[in-house]
This record gives sequence, C-alpha cells and structure tokens, in this order.
Amino acid sequence: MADRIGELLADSPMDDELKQLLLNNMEKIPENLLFQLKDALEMEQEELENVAFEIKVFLKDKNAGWDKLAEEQKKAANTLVDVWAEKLK
Amino acid sequence: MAERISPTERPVSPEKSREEVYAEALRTKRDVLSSHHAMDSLRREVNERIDEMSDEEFKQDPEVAKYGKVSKEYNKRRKLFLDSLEGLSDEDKEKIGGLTSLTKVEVELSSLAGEEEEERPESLKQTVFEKSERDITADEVNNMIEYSQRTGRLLELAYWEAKKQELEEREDAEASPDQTPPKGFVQRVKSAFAKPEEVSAEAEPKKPTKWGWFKERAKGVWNFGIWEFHQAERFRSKTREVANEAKALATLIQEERDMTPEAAEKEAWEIVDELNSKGLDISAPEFYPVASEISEEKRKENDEEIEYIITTASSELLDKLQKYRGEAGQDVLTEENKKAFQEDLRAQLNKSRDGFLKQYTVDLAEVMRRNLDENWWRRYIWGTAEAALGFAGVKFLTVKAADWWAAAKMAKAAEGAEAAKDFVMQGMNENVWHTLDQMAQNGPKHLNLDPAELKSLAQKVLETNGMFESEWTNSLTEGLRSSRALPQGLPLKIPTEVMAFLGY
Repeated sequence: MADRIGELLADSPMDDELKQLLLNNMEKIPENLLFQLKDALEMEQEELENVAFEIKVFLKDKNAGWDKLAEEQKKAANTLVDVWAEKLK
Repeated sequence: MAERISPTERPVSPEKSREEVYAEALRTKRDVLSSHHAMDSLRREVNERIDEMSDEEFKQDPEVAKYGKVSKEYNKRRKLFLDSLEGLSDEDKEKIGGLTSLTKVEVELSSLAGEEEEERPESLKQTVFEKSERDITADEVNNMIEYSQRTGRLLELAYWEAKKQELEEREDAEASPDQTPPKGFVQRVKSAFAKPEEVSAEAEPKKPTKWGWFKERAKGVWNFGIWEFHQAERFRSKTREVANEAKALATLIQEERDMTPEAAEKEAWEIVDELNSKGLDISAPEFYPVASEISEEKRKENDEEIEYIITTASSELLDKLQKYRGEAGQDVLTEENKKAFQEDLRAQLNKSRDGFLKQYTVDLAEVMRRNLDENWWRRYIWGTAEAALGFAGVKFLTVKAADWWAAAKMAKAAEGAEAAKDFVMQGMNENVWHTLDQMAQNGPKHLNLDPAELKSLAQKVLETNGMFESEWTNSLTEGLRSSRALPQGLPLKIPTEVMAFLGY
C-alpha cells in the first residue's frame, strides 16, 4: 500500500505543498485513514482519466465539425465567385 | 442593532427523519457508484481504440454511443447524489464520505434498521460491469487465488495473494482505528513518491500513456490549473458584472484574432450570452484561453484552408471572367478588384470560422463544467480524504483540502510566501461569525464563545480579509467587501492570533 500511495500522490494534481504536508505527517495518520486516502487518490485518478477521455471524445466529435466547416467555406467561396463574376463581367 | 450575524439554520425537511435522509443519500451514492463503474468499464474499452478510429468509425461505433448514454445517466445520478447531501448533518456527510466502495455502501444500506432491499432500476440490473478493485470482497479474492493455483498462473496468484493481504490489513486497520502505520511505511511512501520515471536512451519514444495524454492534450486546462480555475470562478461568480466580462473577453478575442474592436465585442457578447442562457456558470474571459489552446491546432489548419480557398477562388474568378470576356477578363480583374474580392471572401470565411469557434467554446465549457464540478470533487473525492488530511495538518483540522490548497496558492501568489505564514486558510461556513463559532466548538478546546468574543474575533478576520460587516461600521468602506455578499466556501484568512485563541 505504501508504494501505491506514493505513486498516486506523485501523480496527483494536488498542490505540492499539500503533498509534502501529507508526506511529512504520514506517520501520525491512522492506518484506516490511510486506506481511505488511497481510495480517494484512486478515485481522483479515475476522475481525471475521465476528464481526459471526455475531452478526447469532445475533440473527436468536433473533428467532424471542422471538416464540415471547411466544406461550407468552400461552398461559400463558390457562391461568392459567381456573385463577383456577375458583378465584373 | 443586532449583536450577532444570525447563523442560518440548516433546512430540515419536515417530512423526513434524519435516518431517512441518510438512507436516501446512501441509495443515491450506490446508484452513482454503479453507473460510475459501468461508465469506467466502457471508457477503458473505447479508450483503447479511439485513437485509431476514423471520424466516421467514431460516429458509428456502438460502444461510443453506449458510453454517451451511460455517461448521461451517470451525470444525472451524480447530481441527485450531490443534492441528497444537502440535507445531511456534517457527521452523516463524513460517514458517507468514508464509504469508498460500492460494497461498503451496500453493506451500510443493508445494516440500516428497516431498510429493505429496494427494487433496482432496470438499467442497473442489466448492466454488467467490471468491478472496481475497491469493491472486491475476500470471498472473490479467495476464489481467484484458488483459480490461479489450479490453472498454474503464477503471476496472477502473486497478485491475488497480495490483494488478500491488503484486504486483511484493511480489516485490521478498520478494527483498530487508532493504529498508526508500521515502521518503514512512510519511508516506502516517500521512495515511491520520489521514484523517477524509467527512461531508456535506446528505446523508441513510448506511446503516451493515458495520463501523459491528459497532461499533453489538455495542457491548457492543466497548466491553468483545475483548482485555481475553479477557485477563481468561485470568487467571481457571485460578483462579476456581465458587461465587464464581455469587455475583457472582447480584448482577448481581439488580441488573438485580426478583428475590429466592434466585431470582437459582438462575438464576446454572443459567447457570454450563450453561456448564460445555458446556465453555464463559468467565467468566460478565464475559460476562453483554455478553449483557445485546445482548439489552436485545428484553428491553424482552418486558417491555412481559408488561404487555400482564397487562392483557388481567385483563379476560378479569373477563369470565369475570361470565359465571359476572353483575354479582356484579365483587365477586368484589376489588382484593386482582386483585392476587394479577396477581402470580401476572407471576411465571409472568417465569419463562419468564428461562428464555429464560438460554439466550440460554449460546448467545451459545457463538458468542463460537467466534469470539473467543484462540489463533486470536494464531496466525492476530497470528502473522503479530508479526515486523513485533518490528521496530517494539525493546524488545518477543519479546513477543506480543496480550499486549503487553492487558497494557499492564491495567497502565496498574491502576497508572497512569507505573508502566507501569518494566517491559516479556512473555507467559510455560512458566514464569518458561524465559521469562527464552528471552529471554536470543533477545535481542540471545544470552546463556546460568547457574542462579544465572537464579534471581536470576527472583526479581526474581516479586517485581515479586507471585508466589513455593515452593521458594525459607520466608517468608510471603500475598497472593502461586504461580508453579506460572500460565497459559501470562500477561503478566509484566519490570523494566527485568532487560531491561537481558538486553541489551534
């Protein structure tokens, strides 16, 4: 468990000062709360992975939007070419 | 004149007893954990393939569609869970926070007197999901050990035996709550904490891990800092003026893109209005750079696309004119006309791109708001860690972790590290008066302060924080913040002399 807590703490986005505070006082924390701390850090990691994934899904979803935008821009350009050709001919 | 800022009593529903409210909150936590596991399981499955999927495959993938549905259900349940916490006492909140697995929640639910097994929703019955490690029971571990032995899977056997040992240690720890970790434990945590990542010079660059991906891909969010972002929002959400917000955003947009001040302001107002109409309580000028950084790559690609379209369209216009006028077409498309055409076209193409980006910002704000909901993080994640943190930081016994670290950072940035040592940060509970009252009662001395003592301490806190209480002052309050308009949970600087008086 010690290894796991250490790794999770290192990966946590928590403020470094708070991490140090925890590390420096860890021997005073009862064992049952250390298990809870490990659970909390694991939940934090799951939630962050979830945020990352949601952004990934969002970006993937928007990719199609960017492609559609480029298509619409091409169509708009064709229309404008016709308008200007008419105007200048 | 009222001597005391009356603390607001926690609303108690006349229809439900404390036990019923507690059981209801437990049930909502059980539901949220169930759909969390279902979503997690799907996420892992999709995440393994998502990078290789074409956009078309992504759109048609059944697992992606399923993830979308489960994620929606999860968010709904999450909201119900957070709402259910509102009616709980602090003690019950802490108790629920300590139930860190679905199994624990279910055990607690079944232990409640009169609690009958409730009919589970169909969606839950049908969902088969991978269990979180936190939910694995001793019986299941024993089964896995037996299976690994029988099939000669030595690595798995070692894993499950370690798991069994962990479960037994956890049981022992829960049976003796005062037991501190064994000798050498802390050193081992520190070693694992400081362990550098193994890098091989010869090895090819590794494919980024999920974690690495997040740090890289969501750099804007990461660098800006999730908590600072939220903390900054909390400060502003109640007090910010929409007009100032739109103005600040317009400046950003204008700096980033080649726009007239009027067009930038128009776009800023559109974004602010859209965020407001969707009920997205997010500070637009602070969120915009995050969205901008995330969309930067695609925006640059579209900029190149625009230039390509303009070049191609200019040639097409010349072709058409030559069709009409033969060689004279060249003369009609003077440099001046060509420039005017290109400007007209560029304006139109930029307009479409800007409209898309506006929607992009709003949609991303929606995703972020949903995922970085502060209440959720504080109550679900840090509610659990709070007790441990309380033990770790003797002085911060009553301080919410999220408040503490965000506030400590802000205080440090604003006033320098030295200044931060003169006070301790404390999340405001209802108001300054009530916060101090609670700190006194729950502190080491369990003090019941009289109104005069509380008033004197409250005044010191107000002064330290540049605030005033309108009923206590007739003097000028210019530049000070009224204590009546402070958001719940606002980090307050509590001077060390006040902390000492309270016995910390």
